[in-house]
Formats: sequence, C-alpha cells, structure tokens
Amino acid sequence: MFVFLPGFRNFLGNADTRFLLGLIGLIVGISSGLTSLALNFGLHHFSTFFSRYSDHIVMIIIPAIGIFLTVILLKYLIKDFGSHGVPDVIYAISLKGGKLRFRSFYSKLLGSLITISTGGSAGPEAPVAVSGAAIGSNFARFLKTNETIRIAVTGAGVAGAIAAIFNAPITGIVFTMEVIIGEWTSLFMLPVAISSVAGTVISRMFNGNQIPFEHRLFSVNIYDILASLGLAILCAVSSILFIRILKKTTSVLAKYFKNDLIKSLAGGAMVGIIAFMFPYVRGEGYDFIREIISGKYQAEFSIVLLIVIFKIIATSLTLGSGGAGGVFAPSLVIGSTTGLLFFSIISNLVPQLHINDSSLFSLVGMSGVISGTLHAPLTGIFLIIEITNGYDAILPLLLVSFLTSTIVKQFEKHSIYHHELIKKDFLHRPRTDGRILTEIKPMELLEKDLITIEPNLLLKEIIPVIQKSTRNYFPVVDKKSGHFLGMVYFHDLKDLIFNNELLNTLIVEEVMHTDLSTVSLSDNLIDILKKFDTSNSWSLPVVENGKFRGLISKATMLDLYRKELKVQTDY
Amino acid sequence: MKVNKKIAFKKYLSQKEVAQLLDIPEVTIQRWEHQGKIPFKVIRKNIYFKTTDILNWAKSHNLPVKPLDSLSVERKTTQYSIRKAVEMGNIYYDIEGNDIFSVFSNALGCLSFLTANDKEMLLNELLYREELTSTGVGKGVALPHTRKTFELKLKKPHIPIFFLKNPIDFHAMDGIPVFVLIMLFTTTVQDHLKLLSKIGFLLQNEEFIKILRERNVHRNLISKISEIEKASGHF
Repeated sequence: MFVFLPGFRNFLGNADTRFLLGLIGLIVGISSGLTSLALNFGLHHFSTFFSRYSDHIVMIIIPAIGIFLTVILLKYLIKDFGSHGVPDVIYAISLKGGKLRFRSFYSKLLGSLITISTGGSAGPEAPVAVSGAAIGSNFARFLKTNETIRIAVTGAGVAGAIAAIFNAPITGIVFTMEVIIGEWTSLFMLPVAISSVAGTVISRMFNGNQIPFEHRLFSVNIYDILASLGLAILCAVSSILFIRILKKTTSVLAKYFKNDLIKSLAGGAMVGIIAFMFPYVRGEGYDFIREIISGKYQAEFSIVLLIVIFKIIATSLTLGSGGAGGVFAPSLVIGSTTGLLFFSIISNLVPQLHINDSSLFSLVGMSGVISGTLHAPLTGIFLIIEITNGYDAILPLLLVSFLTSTIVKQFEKHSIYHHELIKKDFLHRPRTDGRILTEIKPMELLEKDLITIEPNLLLKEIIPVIQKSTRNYFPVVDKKSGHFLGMVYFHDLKDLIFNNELLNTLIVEEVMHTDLSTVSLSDNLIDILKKFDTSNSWSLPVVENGKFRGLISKATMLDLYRKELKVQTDY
Repeated sequence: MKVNKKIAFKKYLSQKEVAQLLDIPEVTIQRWEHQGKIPFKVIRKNIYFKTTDILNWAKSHNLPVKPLDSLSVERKTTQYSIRKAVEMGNIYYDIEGNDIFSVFSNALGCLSFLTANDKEMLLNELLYREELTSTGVGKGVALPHTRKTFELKLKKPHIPIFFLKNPIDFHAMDGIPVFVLIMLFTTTVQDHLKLLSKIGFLLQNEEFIKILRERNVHRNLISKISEIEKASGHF
C-alpha cells in the first residue's frame, strides 16, 4: 500500500485547492472523530471505576496522585508539558503556519484521561481539540501542502473533534471559526464543515444520535426574557471570577512551588479536599450538568453558591498544578450552577414572578459562561442549542450570550485562551499590523545595490562614486577586514564638494557618521521599526558580524507592507 | 538585467520573472509559495507559474503588475555614450549664416533624420529657448537644445555637431563668438540630463576645445571624444 503513497501525494499536489481541502477535511474529520470517541470511552470506564469509592476518605489523595502521574507522563515521558492545549493550537495557526508536533496528538489525550478520571476538575474538550488539530496539521505536513491549507486542515481537526465529542456539528464549525482560526473565510469554511460532519457521523455511528443533556420542554415568556438580563450580569461575574482566579492560581502555584512534582501533589491535595466536601466539582462534571438540566438537582442557595466558587477554585488548582484538560466542561458546570443560583435568588426575592423553572436558567447560564470565558457568544449559543435540543430557549440564549461576552470584555480584555498568547505577543490575526510585520522577513527588504567606499579616500576621489551611484548614502567599509565603519551622506557633502580646497584635503573618515544604529537580519521587523523611530532615520544599515550586508529603508518597507496586506486580503 | 523579450507570450513564468513582473523580491515570492498565497504548479519537482494564473491572481488582490512588454526594455537609458550619439548625429562643416536664426535653419536643414515639419517646429523651439537664456556655454561653443526632441520618437539620442563658417555672436557669458554648435536630440529626460552633463564634462577638457578649434576632421574628433570618455572611467 505504501508504494502508492508518493503517487497519491503527487496527485494531491496538483489537485484543485478546494477539492484537496474537502478531501483532507473528510479524512481528518473521521480520524479526529474516532480520537474523540476513544477519549470519551476511556473516561467513562475509568471514572466508573473510581466513582465506586467516591465516599471513601482515600479519594482525598486520588486527584493528587492523578495530577502527579500526569506531570510525570507529560514532562518526563512524552516531554510535552505546559499550557492548556488550545492556546498552543491558536498560536500554531496564528504564527507558525499551523505547524504542530505529532506528539500533541496523544500527549494531552493521555494526560487528561488520567487527570479527569482520578477526579481532577477539567474538561476533555481541549485535549480532544488539540489531538484533532495535531492530526490535521501532521497529515497536511505529510502531504507537503502549503501553509494556508495546513492552517485550514488544522482547524478542520479541531472542528471534527469538538463535533464528535458533543454530537454537535454546528458547534464544531463555530468554535473553530470563532475561537481557533479567528476569521470567517470561505476557503477555511469548507474543510472545517466537512470535517465537522464527518466527526459527527462517526460519533453517531458508535453512540447513536443522542442528545447529551436532555431537558424538559418549556415555553419562554416575557418575564424569562427580562430576568435573563439579570442572569447575564451574574454569568459575567462568574466568567470574570473564573478567568481571574485561574490566572492568579497559576501564578501563585508557580511562585511557591518551584518543583513541578511537588506543585502537582500540593495542588492535587487541595483539589482532593474540595472534591471530598463537594463531590460535584469532580471530573468533567457532565453527570452533574445532566442532573441540573433535568431539574433533579435542587439545593439551598448557599450550597449552590459554594459549588460555583469551589468549582472555579478546583478547576484553577487542577490546571494550575499541572493537570491536563480544558476549561470548556468546567465552564459548562459553572454556567449551569450559575443559572441555578440565579433562579434561586429570583424565586426567593420575588416568589410571585411567573418565571420558568431552573432548567431554563441553567441552560442559558451555560451559554452565558461559555460566551464570557471564551469571548465566543456564537459558540455558546450553538453549543447549547445542539447539546440540549433547546431551540425553544433561543431568545434568552441570544440575549445572555451576547450581553455576557460584552460585559466580560469590559473587565477582561482577552479570553481565557488568548490572554497568555497576547502577553507573549503570540497572537497575530491575519491582516493586522503585527501579523504583516512578523511575516515579512528583513531579508526581503535588504537593498544591496550600494557602493562602498574606504575610510582613507580623499573627498575628491569619491566624486566619481557619487556620480555613478543612484543613492544618496555611501557605506564606509574597512578594506582589510571588511568591517562596517560608518556612513557618508551626500546631504552632508553638498556644502563641501563645491570647495576645491576641502575637496583635496578632507578624507572620508572625517565626514562619515559613526553613531548609527544598525540592524541585523535576525531582528524582527517590529524591532527594526522601533529603531527607525528612535533613530529618526529613513534607512538603517544592516550589519552582520561587523560586516556590511546592505540597507533597509522605510520606503521599501512601505511598498512590501502594502503588497503583503493586499495578498493577505481575500477580496 | 536580461529578460526574455517574449515574456508576454510565455505560458509559464519562472520565479525570477514573477518577481520582476510584480516588482517584489524573489525571497518574498518564495515565502508566498510556502504559505500558499500565490498560485503555482509543480512539474517534475520544479516550480512554475502559469502566466494567466499570476495575472488573474494579481488582479484579484489588487497588486500592481508591470506591463509585460516593459520587462524587456528595462534600463536601456544612459547606455549611450557621446561617441555613439555623435556618430548617429554626424558632423557638418561650414554652416553658413550671420545670425542665430539663419545658422539654426541652415543647420537643421542638414539633418536627414528630420521631416520638414519637425524642422520647422524645432527651429521655433530652439529660438524660443535661446530667448530665455543663451546656450552659448563659453569658449566659442553653443549647446542648442530643447526638450521637444522627445516628441520626435527617436530610438537613440543623436548629437550632430555643426562648425560654422563665420563665428557669430551668441550672447554667450564670456562674449566669445560661437564657432561650433553641439545640438542635442534626446529621447528621455534621463538621457537628456545625462548627456548634457557628459558634454559639460567634455567641454572642461582643454584639449578637446583645442581640437574643436582646429575644426578637425571627422575621424580625429570622434576618436578624441572616445579617448576622453574612456579615460574618465565613470562614463
């Protein structure tokens, strides 16, 4: 079979781009769908094994052991440690042309299997999304496609995985476009949609077409819609708390525990204690959501409030101490409990108000918190519609999702996935200044058609050079060593060269500028532009290991900048 | 820069040709290939760009494209030496006339590469130019010129030299009567400026002036120009 592979690759190499994208999307969708099923299957079986002992005191240390093993596995065995996963994918798509390591395919998957099944509070969606992305990326690399296709296919992997894990094809597409790729272009839509469909089909073939979170039917009235304005505020508070506590916990844990293994044990132990008091914060929490949505779970206002807070803390501890997993499922748990909390507040304050039951508000709350933490209202809306079959709740869903994400953006400028990337300057969406400046390499701007002169020449002797050159500046280079010494500007010479005495007495060394800032070809353009600003000049000499290589000028940069912008624009 | 003249009729372009067509560094074209931003075909592991694909792509991305035929005529300016231009223009002796008008009309009458209409137009223009300031640059030499010569659509610059039978007053700065006209027929602004500055350089050479004064024969004069041009190196 492998004999045909090179031929297959050649065939694909010259195939129409859209056909190629569709075909790869299909293959990637099927693979990532299977991956996602595998994780689900594994989680289900491991969790039932541990849940038998859920009341036992030994459960306090089980999460610690789980996170400890995860760290050992990821850091020492697979050597793929750090970050939650999804930011890695966004970074790869934004700056590395979709390039992901092959080990990302299984590392987070295995890690999250251990972390979540032992009771760590985290979600399996992000690991599955990372695996899907790694499948797509490495398949594209195998086919030696160009970067645009690789990015599209990496996105397709995410879509297929998310679609398969939730049995939710639209959510797969919307999540990929809104959060991962960040732009809605037709070229990307095709493979993403096909992969999403393929992933869903795979999921239905094995699990049947089941709705993960079934709920009762309800009809939404005007009071519900008015009440959802209040819910939006509460969801925003939960989201902001979640984002901030996660950030804070991660930095505090990293500050106090220099050793990753000790950190994992300490963090895990705290998770264990919380989970022992509130078993509902354990794992990915799907069962708990099911109970809330179906209305089976009812509790005191204070208990619900504590669950919201401790779920946030447990998730932050799990992820901050090195556990593998994502924030997607925890956001759903936090959202549904926030909805429940809101319902109990309203029904206590104004019992005569004819609002719907808690089920509706937990449902809308899930969408609200997803929209808030991920800054992705469309993902929240479509996810809830698909996983709960809850189109009847569309009006409060729309309202709460968009309101929450707008409110959260006022306080937290970047989503839970993006803030780390933004801080490291790793997120450059297409057609932004940063993206263009990181894509253009200084090599592309290098102007070499300059005539160099020697420092000990008389001014008279460089007149022919000036006449011959099309430039107004002349780099001075030492003849023996080839080292760059300075620049002579025609501008300075204007007053001198009409004076015969000066022409015969002054030498180049006396009129050259030496206090110049120089740049190197390994600098990035953002730094080079800063040097332009600070030195207030229009062109800077490029010097590599003391040797003069050429010149970079602002005029050339503007020209190429515009062309790059045009090429990145899809008219 | 050597470019295939038939680029307009080529079905496929090389990377270098695409770079020239779009006026973009080759390194950038290479990066665009890797990133999949520019359409290309791979034929036996070599990269080719289909001309129509590239033109459509550039149009759809609003990128400026150089006219295809301009690629073949790149940098033909400034390649002409004065020697060649003088050979094109030829040297004429004993031009009659007692004032600027008659001298000009007689001189233009000698030129076979001009039509009657051209001659009339140029005569007016040259006289008009002379009214602004004298083109007598001193030492008995005048450089009558007008930018209207661009309209003649000459393929190469011509510099005819006319020796006058009787030196006439040209209102030159040094007051010396003019005995020789060096007329400039150029094709572009660049040519015009370049050749003008070169002639200026020639006229600084005392030996050259001496040879002009002797009204030397055609061959000697040309070889002297050639000699000075070569010696100065940067021409």
